[in-house]
Amino acid sequence: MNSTKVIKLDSVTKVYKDGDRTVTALDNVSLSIEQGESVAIEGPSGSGKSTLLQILGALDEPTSGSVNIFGVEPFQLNDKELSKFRNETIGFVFQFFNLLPYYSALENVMVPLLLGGVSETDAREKAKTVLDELGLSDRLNHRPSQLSGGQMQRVAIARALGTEPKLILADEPTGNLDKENKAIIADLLASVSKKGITLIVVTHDQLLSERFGRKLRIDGGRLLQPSNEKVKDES
Amino acid sequence: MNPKQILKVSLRKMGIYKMRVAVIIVPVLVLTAISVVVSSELFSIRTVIRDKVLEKMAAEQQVISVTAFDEELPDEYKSKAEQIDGVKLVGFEYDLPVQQVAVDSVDGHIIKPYIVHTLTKKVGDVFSNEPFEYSDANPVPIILSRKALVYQEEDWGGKDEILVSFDSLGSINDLKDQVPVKSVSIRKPSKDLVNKEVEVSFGGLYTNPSYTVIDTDKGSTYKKLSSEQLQHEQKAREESISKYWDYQKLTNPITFKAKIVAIREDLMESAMFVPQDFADIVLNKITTRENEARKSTINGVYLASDFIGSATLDEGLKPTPLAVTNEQVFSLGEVSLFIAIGDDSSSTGKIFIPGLILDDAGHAVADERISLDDLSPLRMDVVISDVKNRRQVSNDLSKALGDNVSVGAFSAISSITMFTDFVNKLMDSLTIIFVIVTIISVVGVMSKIVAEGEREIGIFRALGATKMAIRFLIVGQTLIYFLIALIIGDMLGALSVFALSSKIAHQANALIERGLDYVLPISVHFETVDFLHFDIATVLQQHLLLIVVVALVALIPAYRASKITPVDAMRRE
Repeated sequence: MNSTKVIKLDSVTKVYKDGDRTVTALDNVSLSIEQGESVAIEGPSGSGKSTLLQILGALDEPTSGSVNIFGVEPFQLNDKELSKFRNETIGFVFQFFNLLPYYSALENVMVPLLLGGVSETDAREKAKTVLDELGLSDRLNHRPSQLSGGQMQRVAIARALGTEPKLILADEPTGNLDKENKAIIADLLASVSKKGITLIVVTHDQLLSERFGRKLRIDGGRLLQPSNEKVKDES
Repeated sequence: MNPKQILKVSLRKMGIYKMRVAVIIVPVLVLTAISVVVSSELFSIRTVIRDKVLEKMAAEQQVISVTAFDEELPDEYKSKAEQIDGVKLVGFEYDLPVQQVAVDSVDGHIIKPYIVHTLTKKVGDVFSNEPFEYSDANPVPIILSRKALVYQEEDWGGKDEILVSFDSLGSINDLKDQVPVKSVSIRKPSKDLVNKEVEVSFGGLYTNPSYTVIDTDKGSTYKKLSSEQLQHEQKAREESISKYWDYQKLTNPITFKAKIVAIREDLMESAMFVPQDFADIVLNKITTRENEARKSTINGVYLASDFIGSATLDEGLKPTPLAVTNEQVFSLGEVSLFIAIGDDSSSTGKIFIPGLILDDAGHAVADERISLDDLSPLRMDVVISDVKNRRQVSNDLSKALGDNVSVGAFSAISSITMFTDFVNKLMDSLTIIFVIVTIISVVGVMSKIVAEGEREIGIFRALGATKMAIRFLIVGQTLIYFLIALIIGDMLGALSVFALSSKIAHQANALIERGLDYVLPISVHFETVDFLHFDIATVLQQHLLLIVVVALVALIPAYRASKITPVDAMRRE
């Protein structure tokens, strides 16, 4: 595997206000991740792992520090460029699936493609292909409410994969699933990683994190001693 | 996001936010439907007024009536009026002191105008297609007001006696339904009535009624008279009159061949207009005949039981219509009520003698002749050059002539113009209410939908939607809901118009039949199609205005929505 560092965080701090309280969600975090690497971020609730993931996904801007993702400093972009960047570069998988309830599985997968300017016919074809690969070809026209948790998460993964992103970010992707489905999703994410897509997963799930090449542990907003030897010198 | 995608999202969301979307759609839909119905019907009314009323009153619109409050119209008013810009010509009108005027026949019926006015040739020519002047060789040209086109009809329903109970009288129409003697309007359009030759008669005796009315505290009983009773009444009258008059001479009216040259649609009175040069001929003939018919000097007070024709000499001859009457005839709608006043009606019986001329002591003057010069004009007709200036000329006349006159104030044209102005204002008010309700429902509901849809908007943002796309989505969504409401509302409105038009036409005709023509003199018969006009221009204008308003108003929730970040949305998990 090529060892290009495609994700670089340098002294990233995120502070936000919660009422009168100031909360430091991330405290001077530096990190780099190579292309195709699969990384699990672990940590207790409120440790800052989701904030880290959001910054990595260019969803949330850090209070200070620099972020470079695939050679782009996303927070320097205007809204249009940033949206395009998110759409083309990053795929998201959420704990609660975040599927649009009024769309079918197929349409949910089509949404990012259409937002990226793909024609409806092409988007449909692509979405079908991806859903087919994930074993959902018999669920194309089902609404989320007609799907099981595992199926919903597979649709969400299909949606993330549809635009062929370079990076997939998953936030507790198995957090809301039963054991059987956890295993299916873990297999699926592992297979994604094998395709050369950089994968960063926030999880409590030991079984899941075991499947990834590197584990990062975060607590109190600080990145702890890397639990994997691959994490050495981030500077 | 392209419009197709926005449409898809909006329609799909309708399924989820049924109640919320209904809060936008239902009021807009209802208001749209109401608006279509109201605007269409108001438009229909305006169109009907324009085509069926004002167009028919083209001639009438050229004339502004000036009436004196004190029944004197000084000569100088004529020259004052003539100096006003836009005034073409001015003519005085006189009321002829003649009674028992009848026109035989109009559409097969004898009609009896209450009053005879004179018109100068020039004013008459405004209404008439042929010269409005008298000549021996030709029938007298006459103009009838629409309100004069009424005849009496008896309908006893096979009974000889009918009790009209006070308790059962809710309205004037109930009275009309119940009394056996009815006035019926001739509703034929003017074109079917003009150029018809008729016979006009002046004077003569009132026909003895064929029934009596007995009033009790419960109501009035109408009772047919038997032929014996009728003969008795007739004989009593003849004997009573014959003491002083040649009964036959009085009985036979003076008749002339005449021709209806116009129907005036703008007047609220039952009137006949004759050429001014004809008036003297009538007056002369009537007074001559009465004088010839008179057997001896009589005390006129008791026999002058009626009529404008009664006159005193002290201030010159002028009509004294009410002062010496024992009985008056009031007309209420199409129903005639006979009201007795004074104490000595019993001593005069039911004798109505036209055109008595009294001196100031109340004695009849045997050898007087009256002519138009003895009368004072009551009304001035001001003919204007251009009907568009009607209002301006009316205002100028009011200013120039002062407070003693009323300028066209009671003209039906003014009422109709006021009515159409009111209709326009009503439409404007409706649009304003519509705009306000729309703004409230759109801002309220769309803000709510945005607030509840934060997560969804966050997902779109995470998947690559720009802020602009989100704004488009919200504005588009709002417009789609609004358009759906407009389209359904329009369809409902149109269906309602179709459903209602025949009912409205029917009701409108019933209203006209039942006395609306008391305020609207013109005889209009409505067809269903008259109420099927769609005011497409106004509806489209209103829709366009509302769409712009909605698009602008939707920017409020749209901007709110575009500020939602994916993180905001995810925090809500």
